[in-house]
Amino acid sequence: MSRREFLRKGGALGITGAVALLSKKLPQGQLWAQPSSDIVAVQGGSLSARLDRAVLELGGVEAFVQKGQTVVIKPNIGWAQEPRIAATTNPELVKRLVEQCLQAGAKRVWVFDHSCDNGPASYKASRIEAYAKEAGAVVVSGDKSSIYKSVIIPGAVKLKKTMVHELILEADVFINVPVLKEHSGAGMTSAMKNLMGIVWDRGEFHRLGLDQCIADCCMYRRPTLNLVDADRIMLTGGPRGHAGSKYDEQNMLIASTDIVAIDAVSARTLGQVPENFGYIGKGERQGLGIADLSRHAIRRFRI
Amino acid sequence: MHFCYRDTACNRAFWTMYGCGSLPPGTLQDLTALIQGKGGQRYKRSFKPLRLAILLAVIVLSLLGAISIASWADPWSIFSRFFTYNLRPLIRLVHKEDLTGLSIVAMGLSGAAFMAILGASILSRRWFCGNFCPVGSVLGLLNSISFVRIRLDDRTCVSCGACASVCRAACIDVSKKRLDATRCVNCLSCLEVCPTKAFRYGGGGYRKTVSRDNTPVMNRAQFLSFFYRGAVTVSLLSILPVRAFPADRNQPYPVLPPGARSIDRFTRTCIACGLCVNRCPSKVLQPAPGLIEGKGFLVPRLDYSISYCQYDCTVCMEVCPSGALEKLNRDRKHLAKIGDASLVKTRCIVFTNGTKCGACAEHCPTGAVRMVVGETGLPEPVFTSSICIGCGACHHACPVHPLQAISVTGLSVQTIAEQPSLNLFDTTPQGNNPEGSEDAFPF
Repeated sequence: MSRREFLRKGGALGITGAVALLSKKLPQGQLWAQPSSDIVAVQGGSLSARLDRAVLELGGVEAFVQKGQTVVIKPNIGWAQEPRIAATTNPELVKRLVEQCLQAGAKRVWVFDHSCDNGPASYKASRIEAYAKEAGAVVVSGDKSSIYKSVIIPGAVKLKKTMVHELILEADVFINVPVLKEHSGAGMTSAMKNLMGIVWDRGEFHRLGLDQCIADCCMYRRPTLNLVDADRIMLTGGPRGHAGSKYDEQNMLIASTDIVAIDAVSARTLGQVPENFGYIGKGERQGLGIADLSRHAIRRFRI
Repeated sequence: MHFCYRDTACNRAFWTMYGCGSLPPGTLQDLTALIQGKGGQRYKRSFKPLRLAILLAVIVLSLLGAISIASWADPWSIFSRFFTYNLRPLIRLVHKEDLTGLSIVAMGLSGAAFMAILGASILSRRWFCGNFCPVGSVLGLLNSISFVRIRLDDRTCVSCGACASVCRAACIDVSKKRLDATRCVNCLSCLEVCPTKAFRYGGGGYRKTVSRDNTPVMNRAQFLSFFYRGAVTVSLLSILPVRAFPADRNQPYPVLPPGARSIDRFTRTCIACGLCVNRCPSKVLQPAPGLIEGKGFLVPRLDYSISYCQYDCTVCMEVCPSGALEKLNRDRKHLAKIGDASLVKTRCIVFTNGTKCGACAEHCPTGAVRMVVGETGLPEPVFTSSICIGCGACHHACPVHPLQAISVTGLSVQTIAEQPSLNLFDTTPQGNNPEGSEDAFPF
């Protein structure tokens, strides 16, 4: 670590600490200091190695998880499909992430999703429950309405009130781990769309306007970190996957704290432009991040 | 009921209600004996006309195909329904699960039936077995003419009553020194307690069924009369095409579980035991509230307002004990068409609101409904019936209420859907940025 880096990080930590101490009573997601809005992409190697490198390049896991904190990891466990279908986040990635958080001293690491398919079937078929438990996480169900709490989303345009999983309210750190794929309804599902799995009534998004509600939902709580699993990208037949689905083996992992930027990168990974997906533009206008990739430092690595 | 018969097939030489002793309804009734305390039960006469009436009713209903109504005299089915509709909701409540899909009719009836059996057994031990149950009637009749059974020697008996106080079926008449073999469950408790060893478990001729004072268990005239009456009824009914109740043709067909094959076949074979309802992981199987085809009562059907049939799941067929659901493996089940969807575009959000939706296509496991960009400039739903299997995923996911834009109704005869083509989703596949080279990152 160079002297400049040390001073920069020390200064950032100091300011973060002061601000955090002063802002205990304010709603979460607004004053967590963003360590950097860099975008890091790592290609090649194993999933674990990719994760290790990506997190390191963003400042190490200690930049996101402090000792004694609780962490909620929200992967995509939407469908009762095997990992090779890539309709859900790769379980190896989730496992390595849980290990990292625990190594950083997290008191507890939770993993959950509100699945589209039957909850227990999805948790099992995707193998995420088994892998996460192996690493020491507490896997929580997402299919009981009693676990969701009614919240107001300040600044939302359409989705002003909804019911959100209590772990999102409770956990100190919120890590969003979507799997990138084509989506028949929204066009693409990546970091922003993945947050649809934290609410109880997903049908409401479709009723009130899908793109707008996706953007609104991200306003409730900004994830501390977004990690997009772009290892095996489903290009057709998404989000569920079918026998004839086509795939792109990118072997990539994308990481950023800027949820809008990471979706813009995801769009380009699919060979499209961010303007094709309404929720990215809406998210940017609502202050969730910056979609213009020229304004970000994008660092690419191959391992 | 045939389940009970099958269970005791290995006891063919013994012809007893032996199996009834080890099954839950039997043992639970025996437990109620603990409430009565010792020295309780004396002999209670069985009510023969009722046994005969119920047996005939069950035979008639079964021939008419209304086997799910006949199974309300079947103790195994009654217990199974009690567990599914009364006990399981309690367990779910304790686990803080959402209590969707509770059928009040099923809960009320199954609870009442089970409690009635237990209540009656407090008044008279195993009242249900000895006075109502058709299995008991038939097996009891066979037991009374069986070679090997419990026999009471009226010459050795001193009428002390020790046997009657432990008899689980209250079938020993102490004063007349007689054991009613049509209700004996062969528990052998009487053998153990008799101080003069008047009981014997073993063989002997038919003639020994007559006791010392020459009163037979059933005399020849009675037996033959019963036999002829039964034979005439059975022959008449089998040649007459009789419907139990007329079917209502105005209602759409309900969706039946995979493996049911047709409404007619299913209502003839399903005993409405509730096992599949109990085990269904998505809770989409629910007892039908009314009569199906005039003969299916509380038989399971799929309620898509609650959930949908999971594509890879075959649990209902695996647990069905009566063969009402043919056991299809996963690959065959993937093509088993249990219903058909219909799409009403005038209700679809894409057309009414001009915003994206696609909830139906998202969930569809075969691609029968999928999104294709249309005139609105947005992805619009497109439906192909030939590959639709009627699983209800689209129906359940459609956010338009109360009338869905896409909904699924059942079929009178289930068919086989076509295999979806592998090219179904072929558009120009989105992939690497065409500007990028092989080595470069796509952005």
